[in-house]
Amino acid sequence: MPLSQHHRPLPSLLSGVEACARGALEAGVRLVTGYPGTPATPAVEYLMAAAGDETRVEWAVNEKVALEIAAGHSWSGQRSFVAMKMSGLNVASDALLSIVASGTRGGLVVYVGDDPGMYYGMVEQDSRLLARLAACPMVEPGTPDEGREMVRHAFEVSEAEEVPVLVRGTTTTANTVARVRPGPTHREQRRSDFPWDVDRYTKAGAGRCLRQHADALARLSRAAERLDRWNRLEPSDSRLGVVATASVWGYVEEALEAAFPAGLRPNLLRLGVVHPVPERRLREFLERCDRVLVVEELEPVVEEKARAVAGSLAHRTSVLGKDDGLGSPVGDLDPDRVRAFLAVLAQEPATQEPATQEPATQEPATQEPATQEPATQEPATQEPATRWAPRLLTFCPGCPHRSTYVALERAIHRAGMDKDEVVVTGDVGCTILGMNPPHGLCRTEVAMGSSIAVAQGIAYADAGRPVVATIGDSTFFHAGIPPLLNAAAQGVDLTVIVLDNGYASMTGYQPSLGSSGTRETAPPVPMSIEELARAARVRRVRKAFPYFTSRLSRVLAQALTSPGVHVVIAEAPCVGRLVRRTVIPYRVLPDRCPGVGPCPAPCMEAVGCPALDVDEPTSKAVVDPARCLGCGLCASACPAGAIRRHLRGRRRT
Amino acid sequence: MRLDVVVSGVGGQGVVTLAKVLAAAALREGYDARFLAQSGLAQLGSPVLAHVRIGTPAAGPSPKIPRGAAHLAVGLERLEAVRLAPLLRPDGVAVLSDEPVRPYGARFRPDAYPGRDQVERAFGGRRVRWVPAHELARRHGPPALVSAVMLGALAGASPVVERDLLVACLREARPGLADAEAEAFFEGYQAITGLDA
Repeated sequence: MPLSQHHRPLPSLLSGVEACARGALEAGVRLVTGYPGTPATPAVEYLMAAAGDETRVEWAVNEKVALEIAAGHSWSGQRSFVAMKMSGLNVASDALLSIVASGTRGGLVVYVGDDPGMYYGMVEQDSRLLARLAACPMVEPGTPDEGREMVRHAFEVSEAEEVPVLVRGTTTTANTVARVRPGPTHREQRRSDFPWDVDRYTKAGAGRCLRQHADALARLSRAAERLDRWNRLEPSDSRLGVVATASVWGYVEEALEAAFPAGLRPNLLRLGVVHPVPERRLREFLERCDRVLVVEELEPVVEEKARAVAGSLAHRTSVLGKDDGLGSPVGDLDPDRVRAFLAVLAQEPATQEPATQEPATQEPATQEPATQEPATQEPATQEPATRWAPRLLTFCPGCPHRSTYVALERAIHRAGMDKDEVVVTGDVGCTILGMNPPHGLCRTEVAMGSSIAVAQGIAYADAGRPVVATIGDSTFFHAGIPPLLNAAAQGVDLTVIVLDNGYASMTGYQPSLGSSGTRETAPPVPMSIEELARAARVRRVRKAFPYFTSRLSRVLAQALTSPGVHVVIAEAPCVGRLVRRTVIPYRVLPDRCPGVGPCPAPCMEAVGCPALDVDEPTSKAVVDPARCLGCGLCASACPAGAIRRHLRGRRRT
Repeated sequence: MRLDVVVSGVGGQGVVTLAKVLAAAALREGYDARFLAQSGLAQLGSPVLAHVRIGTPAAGPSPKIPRGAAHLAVGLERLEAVRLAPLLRPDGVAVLSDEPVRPYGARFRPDAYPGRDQVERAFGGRRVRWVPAHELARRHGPPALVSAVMLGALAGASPVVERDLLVACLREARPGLADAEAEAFFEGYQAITGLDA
């Protein structure tokens, strides 16, 4: 190997979601926004790093706001790109339906991350159904490079047919990293102007609304024609056929190698357009075949259409799919499962068992929300995996949220209450980990910002029961303010703890509106949760440093036992974002530690820090000096005073 | 030719870095290559499983490696290594680091965390090679070098991607630690091959 080869730049490896963002860049996008939500987050982050000065890239307070900013930008004639996860599309849906009815001017492309298999939490849902509700075309790539080209083309279609285009990236496609061939960037300087057209941009009056509805449907079908190049037919002489959406096409290809090794390959139809499902294509395909298997993740959208079309054919074609037990609306697919489906297709219909083997292996997602096991189906091995301890997510070592939840538990005892007497509602993000052991506090997680209103409902139902809502800062800005205003105006007895670490940490440390750090992505005018809460006229607003647990627990105990809405802001920066600093870790003095068995209140059970472990031979606690950040929470919990600062163990992080 | 590699570990150990360096080196050598990292939330400590597919003229079409199809399994953590067993071919090789990262629940129930022999049983007779990756990494710097040690071990177990290309890509992946990464790589390589670099 010649040495020079070692110095060529790394081939452009991009993930599917980054490649889609790359497509937006190549299309000459001028505005990029969204709200962080895995698996869509890297679309915005890639462009934050890769876009030039002519493109504005920033996070918005929530997905609805992001989409509305993009709509205003598009209506002024400029190309705009928005990214969000599927739950975010629900938040934005009110605006989406209206924007589709009005149409676009500058190209408007919305990337939505769907998560079959629920690798990242929240409600498993199929955004294709929302595309249908909104009468908005939706495409779906199967590989990173296809995603790049698809987004590029989506901008052209959006502009030509004046309709937003949704791009659906499923988790597997979004996270697949492959070589991407970068294309040329569309360079065009446009003058922005927003036209005067109230018939199009307002919704006042039935006549206007009906015309907009009809126009939107007409634009949808024209856009679908233009996007049809992403649907691909591979005909054969067989009378069998497979229809699959692009995101699962890799499984079909893999399975074809195994299920039809020497025989005739079935006819294949690969769908890149997932809304509207191309009826003419399906009709021609079903006419070629006697038996057709439909493969898709989540809802049987293509399957239902195929059954409807098959019913209208003169020739009888049977459609195989989820209705026959080949697949489930729950969870994601994998090559093994698709191979089993193809084996059923390959069987003679007479001998065909109605697919009893497959649904049995399809385990519904029974895992607890914060147990982050990779969602691969666990096969039967000699050692069943259930026997091993689950890897429950917990706060990082030194996380301020851990101190806050420990302080809350101490406050409950300080107020003379029992943990079971207090209802704690949780919210989306790292803060929900207060549900996991050893804290076991949060009992609900509904949607962004829901903790406060859910707590209000519980307080109404059970007067006198102490109720606490916990919410992170980014989630509070996203959707926590209206319910706080509501609870304050109604004078509910409620304690709201805002765990303010300055970031949306679980999605990878995007700054919240309250971040004032030196990162260039932090907002230029940081918002103050304290002032917002005061403006809401809540009874009492207190700010506390989570690591001072005894003060924080006093503040919380007082809030728990007094009437009205109390807001307690536990503020300390996320440890995942710590800039370089010196850490003095703690250590356990072995002659003082009684061992976790005999100890009346073991540190591990009290705080559950990942840097704490049990020394195997002695069963005494040990602190991993490489992971400890020196917060001292374990030392404050140790009844034997065995955990001390280890000055000589200091290190730079 | 096809080479399918599955890699597992917990967040922060460098599973994604390992997969990316392997795929990049394979691409540079002229193969088609692709990888998928499956993980939970973007939080330190959650399990990560990566599928790396290398091939010529094309890598295997599915982003996930089918059961019983992987030629190599690389485990950076003992419990997560158990998950690799069903993906490995009967004639496949597992290269495992025995570093434990115990979940919270296993701190109170020692039997809820597998020992070496139990991991080997899970692999049901397939070849398992253990690498003291943590100890080897520590000779050269931070524990984050475990992934470099394991990449070296992988290079020792399979000659498909050229060793020096892997080192070159590894150095580019984290330029700040380039020399330490390369040293750690050769520790892993030696641990498997018994050869001097």
